[in-house]
Amino acid sequence: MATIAQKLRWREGERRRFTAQYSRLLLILPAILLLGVFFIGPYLYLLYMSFMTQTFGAPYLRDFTLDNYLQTIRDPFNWRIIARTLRYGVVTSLVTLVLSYPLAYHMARASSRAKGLLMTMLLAPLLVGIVIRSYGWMILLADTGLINQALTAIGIGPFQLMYNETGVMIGLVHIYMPFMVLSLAGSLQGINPDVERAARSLGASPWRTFWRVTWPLSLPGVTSGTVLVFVLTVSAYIIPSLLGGYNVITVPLLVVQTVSELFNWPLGSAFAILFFVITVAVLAIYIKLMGRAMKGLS
Amino acid sequence: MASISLRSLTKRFGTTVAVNNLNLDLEEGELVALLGPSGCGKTTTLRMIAGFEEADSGTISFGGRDVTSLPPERRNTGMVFQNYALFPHLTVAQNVAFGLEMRKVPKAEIARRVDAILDKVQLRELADRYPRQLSGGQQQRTALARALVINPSVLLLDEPLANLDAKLREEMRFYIRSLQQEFGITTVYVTHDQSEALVLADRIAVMKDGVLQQVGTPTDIYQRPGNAWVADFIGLTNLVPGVITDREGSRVLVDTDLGVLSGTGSDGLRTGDQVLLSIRPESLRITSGTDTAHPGDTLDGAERNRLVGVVRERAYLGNLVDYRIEVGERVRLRVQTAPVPAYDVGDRVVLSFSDDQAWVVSDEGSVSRGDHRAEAALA
Repeated sequence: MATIAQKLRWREGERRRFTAQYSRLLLILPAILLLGVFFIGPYLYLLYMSFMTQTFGAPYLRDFTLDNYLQTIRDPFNWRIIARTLRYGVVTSLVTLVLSYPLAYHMARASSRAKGLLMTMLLAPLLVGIVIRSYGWMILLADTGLINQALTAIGIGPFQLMYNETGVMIGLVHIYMPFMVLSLAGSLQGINPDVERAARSLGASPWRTFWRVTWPLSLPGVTSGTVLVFVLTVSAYIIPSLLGGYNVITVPLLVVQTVSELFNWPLGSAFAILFFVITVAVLAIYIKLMGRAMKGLS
Repeated sequence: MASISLRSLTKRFGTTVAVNNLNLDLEEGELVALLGPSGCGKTTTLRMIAGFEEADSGTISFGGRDVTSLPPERRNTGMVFQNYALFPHLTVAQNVAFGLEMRKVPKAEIARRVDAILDKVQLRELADRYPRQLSGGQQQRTALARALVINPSVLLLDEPLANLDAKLREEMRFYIRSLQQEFGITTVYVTHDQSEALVLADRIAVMKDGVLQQVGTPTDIYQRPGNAWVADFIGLTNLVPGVITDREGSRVLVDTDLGVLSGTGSDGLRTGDQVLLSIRPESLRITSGTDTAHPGDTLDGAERNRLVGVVRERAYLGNLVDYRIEVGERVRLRVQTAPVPAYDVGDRVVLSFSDDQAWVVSDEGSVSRGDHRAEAALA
């Protein structure tokens, strides 16, 4: 009798462990499905398509070829666009970093009430879609837009602020700044203010305290913020197309053009995959370097 | 090494006065504990000394040099924080070297001095560890080493032991004291733990609501508290209210509900003053009572300060027994004494104390709290 009872109890325990395991799995299942169906699946399909042959009347002909990659790699124009897109990514990340850091620092050290207000102000623009905000910038930046009208009125300008790199940069920085601020604020908030005080008491000026203590301790936030903004920037489509007016071609624009105007799905896929690989490589190197700089932080 | 002098130091946060007209002098090499409950202004005072808070008025000087308007980095203070505030991205050695690097000390000398101080705090083997890889005690020693290696004019300790477990805390008290004496460095030690202050300090400055209540040696503070609040705050005590009927030198007779008792009081007290008689639980002697005496009776004869009572509660504390003894209507005195001989609840006992163990303080502090300010009994 006792053995049966023990057995039952054992089974009960096992059953619980079993359910615990499966219910946890169940919790992440929606995310996995979503990623699989809408992210990994399309990427695999893109990869597959990039090795197919171009044809008319259908996206591709089922005929394996490396031509798409060769064609992409051989064209120096593509490399110029890749270089430009990466440059936009780097510059936008740096500019947003410089603009966001003081705000993030202030937010991290503000009272919880002021923090809430700043956070609301920071996130409020996200309530308006990117397209609308880009049109908003167009009203401001156009040749006869508000800014140029004001500048002309005081006797300087007009400048071309739109349909060029300047316009695209302004748009990118503005749209992606909240992501940078949030990443930085999270990291800065984790820094014990006493650590900065300790540096001061040990003889470090505010400036030296920043470079020797605050900055290195905020590197995790700097890394995540810059990676996020970089990724968002190099894959941006709406802002460069609206504020660049097709004078500023980036990789996403070129890929879309290849697909929707030249109807060359395989070539567009190959370009997209190539750029994806390059972006991942760039990020891998960057994260590795930042990781080395953050050696002491776990 | 320098003396510290605080003159009429005041700091307000909005409408609250965090530190109110504080005057305090520390001799060279002295360790003074700033003691008080949380929110009493002790940490604000320390931060003003360190330069993290700007005083609204008053002056701070180290060794006669006015530092009131200097930023923290130019005050040459060594500060140890409650949470240690070690630089998490730097190793133990790099943490300790930080202050020397800021002072542009040559590399070779930095290495030598860091090694020497790490030897002193027994952390040499852990020099290449990061703070997160250290135990609380090791972090504490790193923080001390980092503060001391720069040869600061003054050492400032903000609740340095609060985050350690009880046993280590006790050990570290003596360790900090011996380091401080070895370096002979003037030290301000902020704590809310009175036993820490009593063990460590040359003098204790007791604060309440931003106001300095009393400054004195641990013995002074414990045995001759300046006012009722200090008497109540430091250690355990029985406070018996009464009126002074007579005084002879320092000996004071007080008419209380328990009869006329005699105690010792400071010079400021006069006949007719409302006072409190403060008797520590360990100052009361307990002996078996007679069956004929009743609570509230005062024994005849030359011996004053003898009270008849009944044991109402007893709590065994291991090394001591804590009794509550009813000596009058609704008056219970707390007595702490050795476990042997033992008295049970209901036993008749006689309590006695010598008049130099009963300290008489003005009742003012407890009645009109806030604006009352006891004259600091400077040692």
